[in-house]
Formats: sequence, structure tokens, C-alpha cells
Amino acid sequence: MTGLTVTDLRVVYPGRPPVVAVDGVSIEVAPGEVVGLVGESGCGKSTLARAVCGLVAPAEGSVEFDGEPVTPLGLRRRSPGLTRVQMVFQDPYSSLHPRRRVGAQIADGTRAAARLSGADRPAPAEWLERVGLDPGAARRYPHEFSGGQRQRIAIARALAAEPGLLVGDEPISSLDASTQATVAGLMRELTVAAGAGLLFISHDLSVVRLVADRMVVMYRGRIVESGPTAQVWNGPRHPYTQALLGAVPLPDGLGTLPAAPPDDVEYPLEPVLHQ
Amino acid sequence: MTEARRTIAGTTVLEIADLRILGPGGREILRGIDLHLVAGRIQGLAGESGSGKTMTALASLGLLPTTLRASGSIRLLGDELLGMRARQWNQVRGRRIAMVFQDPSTSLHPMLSIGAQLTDHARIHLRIGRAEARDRAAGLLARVRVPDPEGALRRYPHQFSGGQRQRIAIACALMCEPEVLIADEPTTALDVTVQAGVLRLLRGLADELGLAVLLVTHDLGVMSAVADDVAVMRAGRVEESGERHQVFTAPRSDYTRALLAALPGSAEGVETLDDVRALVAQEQGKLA
Amino acid sequence: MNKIATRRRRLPAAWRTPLALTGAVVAAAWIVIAVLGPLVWPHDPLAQDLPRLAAPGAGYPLGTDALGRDVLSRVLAGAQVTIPLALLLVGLSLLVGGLLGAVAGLFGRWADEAVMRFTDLVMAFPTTILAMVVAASLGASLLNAVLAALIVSWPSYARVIRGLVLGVRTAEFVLADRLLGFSTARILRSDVLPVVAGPMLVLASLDVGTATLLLSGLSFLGLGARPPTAEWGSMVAQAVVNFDSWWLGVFPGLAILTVVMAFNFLGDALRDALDPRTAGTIGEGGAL
Repeated sequence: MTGLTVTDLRVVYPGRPPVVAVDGVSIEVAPGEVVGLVGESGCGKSTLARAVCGLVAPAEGSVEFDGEPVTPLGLRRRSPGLTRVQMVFQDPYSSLHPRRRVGAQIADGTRAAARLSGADRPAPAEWLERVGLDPGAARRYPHEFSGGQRQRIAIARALAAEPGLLVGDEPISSLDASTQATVAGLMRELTVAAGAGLLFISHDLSVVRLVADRMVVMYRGRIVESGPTAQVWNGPRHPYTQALLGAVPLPDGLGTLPAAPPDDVEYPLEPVLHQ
Repeated sequence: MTEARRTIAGTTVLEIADLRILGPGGREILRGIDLHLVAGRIQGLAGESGSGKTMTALASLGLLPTTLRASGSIRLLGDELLGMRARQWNQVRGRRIAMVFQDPSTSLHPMLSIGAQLTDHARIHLRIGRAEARDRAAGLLARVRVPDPEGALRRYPHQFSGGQRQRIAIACALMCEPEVLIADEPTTALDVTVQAGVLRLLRGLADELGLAVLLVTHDLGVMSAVADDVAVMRAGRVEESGERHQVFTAPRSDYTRALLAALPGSAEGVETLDDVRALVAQEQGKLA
Repeated sequence: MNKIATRRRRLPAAWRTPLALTGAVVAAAWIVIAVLGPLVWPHDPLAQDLPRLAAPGAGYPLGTDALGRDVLSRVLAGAQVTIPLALLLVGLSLLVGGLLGAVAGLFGRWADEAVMRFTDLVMAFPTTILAMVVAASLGASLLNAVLAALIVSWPSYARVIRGLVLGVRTAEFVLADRLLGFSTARILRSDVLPVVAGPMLVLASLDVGTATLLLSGLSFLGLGARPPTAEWGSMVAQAVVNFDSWWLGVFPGLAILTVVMAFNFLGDALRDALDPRTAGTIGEGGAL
């Protein structure tokens, strides 16, 4: 079990001129590891997330999970092996089917896992409990829940498929601030306990810092800094990472204005890697 | 209506007293809000979704949906605003109370030039000519640090970045030298590096112009960076209100305390993975 | 916030308009007439035993035609021809157009290009003329008329369904289902169909009127129903020859008019009922 291996990935969106969203990215997520991917809008992190799951096709490079190439979603049904790569989307209001019961949607996840091995699996009610919801809620519909609760349901559905890799594409950005840390923590606990890897993508560095083992910083389609979270957070070496960290306002009540880089600044694209 | 435009720092400019808003069917949306906006100070209004903070802002702008009924008092330098007719609100909105909203891609009219958007309402409100309005607009664009102000007047919103559009929106708000600026999630849609610049701008404007600012946001980090006073709302009530430092480091209400405890970076907040695990366990415990 | 959607206790607002009720009643009446068939015909529509070209009067309320047949009976019998065929035509167009549109929307790229260009090709021809050509070359008969009409009617369904499917396809819950290994059939059935069903029903009900006109038109031109079949369009054609016997053309014409209008009103009501903004129902989103 080798986990996720992305090599020299390049994703280009058509247009005049074509937009290079991901420009030669190599990244790995080992089973049981949590990798936090941060960056601002347009850096390519969402595109990278989609490429990892096969939702967009790469122009160059490769995405492999446990040695098997992750083929882009095509006409055919997803092969059972590849359902081991699951995703939690940003918007909890559009990632659940609006007209099916919550329990049925979680059961879809369980069914995907059952395609791989027919062993007995937890019922949807148990998954609801694991993500911090009332197990009796399985009979309800998504619109009866708040945004935060819907996100937990989406997480339950993804984890019910027993993935080897869970990709969270801004999974906490639409949630209330008071629940962001809890949901991020929940994702980490459940994923790591299952022996799976978690690729946690967010623009919110403070929360990523809490749950990620390694932190990877993206800028303009490339990785500019990467290393163990504590090292990157306490001693960032790339100017972009330094600017990014310096701009985060802390809720400490001290009235410190965050450092503001000029609007049109451009940072070097060469990466800095911590060991 | 008073003629005075420049208010002395420290004067209470906007006074909201016992503001109540009822929705259809008698549902209580706001349950008696008291708030003061002081010239030169940024009043933060924090709260999660559904707390009523945006409703408070809308009520102060006379932008509540007509299906809602408001009672209480909102006084602008002594003039009662609640219950004013549309025509009276048109004199106040944009001129004495200005606003900046969240989404920079929809806060500016996509088909009008920046110059037109900045000067149109100012010319009507202030009865100044085109040339004078343009000069004023260029001056404000320079103050909010939009590069090449003269050229910018001729350009259109889509030619600017999100952060610049938000600055332009702020400049637009300042054209008539308002006494109050209401900003509802002004930086939420911006990248954090861009947000930092806009926050500094807001702080600078409050200090230099003696503006009374109401900053509505769910982001307590933003609150901590620029607000002088903080009010925390929940379910239509103000749970806690006071000076920023006190609210953040020695909150009096359990709700505020719990809110801060769940945030990384706050005084008693989550700092390590163990803290997060404790939060998660605490939540499981509540359900059991 | 977590209320369970309650059942509607009254007819949804969209259905309570006079037009909707009129449409429903008239359409229902015609369907009943078509179903009951011979039970409601005063005379045999094919029997030529009455005085010829008699004006409306006792014994034959709508008059008689040039061959001594009772117009009322023929008009009522016409319902048994036109309505089932119009509904059949709409159903088939929905099926063919819907499948092609769904394929185009789901599979994209080549499939999309192929289907859409084919759609464009068919739509480039004037509808009635193309139907006439096809019907003429196949030989005049009601079934051939339906076939001809089908060929010109499916493209609009294909276009609309393709648009709806494209919208759904990129919806995140569909992506999530695909990642979970749902088969294409399953995606169509449980994700796409619920979204597509409503608008399709509206389109279909509005189209019954058009189908009726098309089929009657083809019969009027002699390309559909053949004598002695009692069909409204061909009855109008025969009336042209004896145009001073006004009752020969007016009553079949009125029959066509009322059927078309009834289904148009129904379609409008359906559309309003499904649009959450105009539905005015309690519960989630408004529906039938």
C-alpha cells in the first residue's frame, strides 16, 4: 500500500490563451498521513484535488493510487479499486442529493465498499453517530439539516466507502467558524483510524496547521514550499509562504493589523523544501 | 436633517436602541439590540450564520424586506431613522450612511465605468458639477490606493482584481463624506493577503476621517485585527459587548468563551492536535 | 431550520387560477368524450342517412355535412382520433428527444456534437413543410402523419433535456455518486431524472396543443386521416368546399381550439406550480 503518488502533474484548461491551472506538481500522501494543501484563489489546489480524484484529466504527468493509475471519470462506471479514492466537496448544499434520504446516501458509500469485499459493514446510523449526528436522522432529507450537519453527512458518505485516500476540497470553508476545527479534527481522526490518507485542501491556514502532518503551499499552479507542519508554520522559508502566514489575522484581541503585501507583487516560483 | 459632515472623534454618531424585528408569523428575528457607533471607532458585530447581524446592518440602512416589521429606535446624530419613508431614506443612504458589501464581483455595476459609478450619486447628493466630482473621485481612488486613479476612472470593474474592486467600492461609499460606514463581510470573499490590505485601509480611514464604522463579520480574526469595540450576537440578541481586548481575553459570556475556545489562535483557543481531539471528544460527549 | 416538509393541505396556489381550472375541466371533458366513444355519439359518425347540408336544428344540433352525416357525432368521434394521437405524438417525441438529449448532455464531446448538429439540421427545416414532405412520401394515413410529426417534434425536447442534463451533470452530488461507482443507468435514474422530469412534463403538456394542430393540419392537407374517418382537420378541409354551410367548418375548428387552449392552460399551471417562486405551497420547493 503506497498511497497517493502524483508525478509532474500538469492540468490545462482550454481557452485563448489556455490556462495552466496546475504546472508540474508532484505530491505524495501516505496511508494514515494527513497532508494540508494551502494556497489562495487561483493557485490550482482545487484543480489538483479534482485531478487526484479523476474528475479532470491531466495534460501531462500521472496520478497513481496504490500503484494503480487513477483514470479520469469516463463513460464507464468507476472501477471498484478506484472507489478507494473519495472526495468531500466544499459546498454542503450541493454535494448531497436533494431528494434522497440521508441514510440511503450513506448506504451508497457502504455499497461501494461492498463491491470490493462482501464483509459486514456498519449501518448508516452508525456512521451518523461517528460523525457526531443523531443516528435516528437517517430517515431525514438533507434540507432538514444545517450546513455543518450536511457536511458531516457528506463526510460519512465518503468514509462509508472505506477509501484509502480521502480528498477534502475546502471541506470546512462553508461552515461556521466555531465548528471548523471540530469538523477538521473529525475528518482527521476518522480517516487516520481507518488507515487512510487525507489530502486536506483549504485556504484557512490556521485550521490546516492543527490537523495536518505535512503542509504544502501552492502558488500559481506550483508547489513553492512543503515540509512538516510545525517547520513550515514556525519557520517559513519561501517569501510567498512568509507573506501568507503574515497576513493571517489572529483572534487574540490584540488589534494587530496583519502585514499587507502590495497588490501586484509577484513571488519567485522556485520551491523550497524542508526535510 | 443636520448639515454637519465632519463629526468630532468620540461623538456617538449612530445609536441603535432596543431594535426588534419580527418576521412573518411573529417570528422574532432581532430581540432588542443596543448598539452605538462612535466617530473614529470601528464597532465590530460578530456572530454566526442566523445570528441576526446582517439584519441589524440592513435595518440601519433601511433595506429590510417589507415583510418584516421593525420597532425600537435608530438615531443618526439625533435624527430618528426607523419608520422613515423611502424618499427620506434616499437622502440618508449613500450620503450620510454608506455601505460596502461582501461580493466584489457584484457590488459594482458591470456595465458602467468606474468614473460613472463614483460620480453619479455624488453629483446628485452634493450638487456638484462633473469636473469637481471626477476630481474628488480620483482623489479618493488615490487614497484607497488604486493605481493610476485618472486612468481607473475610465475603466470597467472587470478590469480590476477582487481586492481592487472592494477598494473601489469603499471609495464609492466615501464620495459623499458619510458619517457612518457599514461594511458587511467586506473581506470574506477576498484572499487573505488581499484582505490584509483592505483591513489596513478600513482602519486608516476610521482614524483619518473620523468615520464611524460598523463592521459585520463572522471572522473573529478580522474582528480582532481592526475592531475597537466588539459585540457578539446570537439568535437575535447581543450576547456580549465591550472593548475588543476585554471581549477576546476575558469574555464574560459562556457563549463567547465557547466560540473563542473553538478557534485556533485565540487566547484560550485550540493550539495543538490534542486540543482538537478534546473538542471532538467534547462534542461526542454532548451527544451521548 | 430542521422542520420536516409538511404536506400540502390545499390545492397549490398555481392551480387555483381560473385559467388552470378551466383548462383542467375542458381537457378532462374531452378525454372523457374520447374514452366513452360510441356511448356519447347521438348518431353513427359514418352513417350517411340524414338530410344533406342541413343547418343546425332539432335532431342534429350541429347540422349535417354534404354526405348526410351528423356533425355533432363526427366532432365527438374526432376526439377519439385526435387526442390519443396527440398524446402519443408527445409521448414519443419526449422519449426520442429525451434520450438523444440525455446522451448528448451526459457523454459530451463527440456524442454531444453529433446529436446537436443533427438537431440543428432537422430544426433548420420549416416544421410543417417537412412534416408534409415526410407524410406525403410515406402515404397518407394517420399513423404516417404521427411519424412525420414525430420527426419534426423531437428536436426541441432534445435541446431542453440536454441543457438540463448538462446542468445536473456537473452538480456535485452527481460527481459524488460517480466517484462512488454508480453506473450510468443509475445516475440517469436517480440523479438526472428527478431534475429533468418536471420541466419535461411542462414542455410536454404545452406541446399537446402544438401536436393537435400539426396532426389536424396534416389531415386538413389530406396527408393524415383518410375519408371516411371523422377527424377534425379533414372535416375542416371538406368544409372549405361548402363554405356557405358555416357549421361544417366552425364546429370542428372550435373543437381544435378548445383542446389546444385547454392543454396550454394546463401547461402554464404546471409550469407555475413547479417554479418555486410562483408555487406558493408550503413545504420544500413547490411541486405537483
